[in-house]
Amino acid sequence: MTDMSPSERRLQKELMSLIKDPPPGVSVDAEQAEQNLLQWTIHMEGALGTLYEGEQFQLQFKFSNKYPFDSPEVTFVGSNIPIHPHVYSNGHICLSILTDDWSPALSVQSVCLSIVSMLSSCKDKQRPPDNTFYVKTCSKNPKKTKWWYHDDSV
Amino acid sequence: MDYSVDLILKYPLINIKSTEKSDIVRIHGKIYVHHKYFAVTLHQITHLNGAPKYKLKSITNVKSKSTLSKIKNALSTDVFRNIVEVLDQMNEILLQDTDVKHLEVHTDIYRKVIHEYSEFVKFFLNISTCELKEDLTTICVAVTDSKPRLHSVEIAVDYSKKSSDLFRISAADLPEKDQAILKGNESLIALFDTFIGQLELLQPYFELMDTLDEHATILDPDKPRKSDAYRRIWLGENISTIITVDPFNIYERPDIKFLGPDRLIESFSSSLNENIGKWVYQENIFQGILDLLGLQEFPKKDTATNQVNLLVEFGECSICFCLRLNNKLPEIICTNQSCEKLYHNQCLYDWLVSLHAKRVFNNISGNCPNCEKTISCPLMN
Repeated sequence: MTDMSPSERRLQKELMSLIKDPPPGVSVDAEQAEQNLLQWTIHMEGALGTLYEGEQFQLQFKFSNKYPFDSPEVTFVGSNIPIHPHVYSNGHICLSILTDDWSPALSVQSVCLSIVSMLSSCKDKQRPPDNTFYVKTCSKNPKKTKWWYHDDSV
Repeated sequence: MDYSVDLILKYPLINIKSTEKSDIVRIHGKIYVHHKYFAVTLHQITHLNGAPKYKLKSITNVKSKSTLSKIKNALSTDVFRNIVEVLDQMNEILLQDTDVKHLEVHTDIYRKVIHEYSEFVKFFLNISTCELKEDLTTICVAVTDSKPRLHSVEIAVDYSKKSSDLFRISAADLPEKDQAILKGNESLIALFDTFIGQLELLQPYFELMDTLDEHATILDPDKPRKSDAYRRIWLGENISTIITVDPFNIYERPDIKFLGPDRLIESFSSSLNENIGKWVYQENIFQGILDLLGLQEFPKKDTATNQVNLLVEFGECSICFCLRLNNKLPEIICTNQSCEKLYHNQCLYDWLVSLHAKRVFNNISGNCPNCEKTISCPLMN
C-alpha cells in the first residue's frame, strides 16, 4: 500500500468497501476493476416498487489520476439504458454531482446511491426532450457537456 | 588493424552482435575490474566517414554518479578506433574510482579495529548481538538495558581521519538531541561506555513512554521508536491529545495539546487549567499526566465495535479516505457540529485551490466538501 499514490489508495479502499459491503442492488465487477483501477463496471438493479423494478443496468465509471479532486466520468453502458428524463439514449446522465456539484467527500458508493434514487423517484418513463439533438451533437465525454440541469424533483 | 584477438584476450566476456539497424552494433557482456564484474551494454554507431560513435546503454554495479558521468563524457568526447579502446578507457575510469586502492594503505588501522573490537566484545556483558561487517567499516550492536529493553546502535569506523576519533555512532534510536553528544572516540570501549551512560540517563524517559504505550490507545506514531518523544492518545470518538515530553528533562510538565471539536475539548482543557499548578517534580509522571487530564485511566478504544466496514473510519481524512498522508494525520476539522469531518491540510488545500477559493492572510477558505459550511486551512507550498 505504501508505494501507491493517494488517488490509487483511495480507489483501492473504495473498491474493497464496495466488494465487501455494497449498497442494495449494486455490485461491482471486481475482477475488471482490480485489473484496471481507473475503469470500473457496476451492475445496478432497478429498486423494488419503482418503475424500473426487475430491470438490470450497467454503469461505467472512469477515473482520472486527479480523482477525487476530479469527478469520475459516469455513464450507463450496455444493452439496457434506463428510459428516464435525465438519461440520454447514449448513456449520458444529467446529474449535477457528476460535474458542477462534485465534491471529493463524495464516493463511488454515494454516486451509485444518487443514481438509484434518481431512477426511483421517476414517475414517467421517457427520454429527455432534447435527446435526439443531444445524442447527435454531444462530446463522447459527458463531463464536457455544459449541462443545463433540469429540475431537481425527478 | 584487427582488434578481435585483443578483445578476446582482454575482455573474453564481451559479445558483439549486429542489430536490426544496419548501422548499429550491440556490444554486451561483462568486464572485470578490481575483483568486481560490471555488466555493460553499448551501442556502436557506424558513420560513413569518420570513427564510430559509442553509446552506453547500461552498466551495473556503478554506484557513484560521477563515475557514470565520467564514462559517458569520455564516450561522447573521445575518439576511439575500436571497441577495445573504449573498454580500456572504461576500465581505467572504473579502476580510478574504486575505493579499494585507497583503503589498502590502512592495514595498521585494520589491525587496530580488529583488536578494539575483540576487546570490546569481551568487555561488555549486556550485549545481545554484535557484528563487525566484513569490510570493517561498520559495527552493529544490540544491547539490553536494566529493564530489559533492547537498543540497537550502529558504529561506523572512520578511515578518513588518522586514528583519533576512529569510531563514531552513525545510527542509534535515541532522542534527537542525544546523538550530537555522542562524538567520535578513538577507543571503541570508551565510545560505547558513553552510549551506555546515555541509556542510563534516559531510563525514566523510556519507562514513561513504555507505560503510555501499554496503558493508552496510541494513534500516532504508528510504530513508536525510542526517539519519538510524543504520543497522540485516543480520548474518545473524535478527540485525542498529543503529549510531548522532553527526554532530558522528564520531570518537567509535558506539553499537552488537544485535537478535536471545541465542544469536546472544553472539559479536558478546563481540567488541564485547573490542575496545571499542581504539577510538582514527581516520581510517577504517568500518574501526573492522568491528573493533569482529570482522568482515572486512559480510555481504551474498543476495537470490536469498530469492525463496521465504514468507508471513512473515525480519524481518517474525508478526501483521501486515509489516516496518513506523507506520515501526517488529518490536522483540520470542520467546525460545524453536525459535520466534524477531518481533513489533511494538504488534501483540503488542494481542493480549495482547485475551486479558486479566496485567500485571507495565510489561510484559504471555502466550503467544507462534506457539509458545504465555511471551512479554512493554512496555505501550503
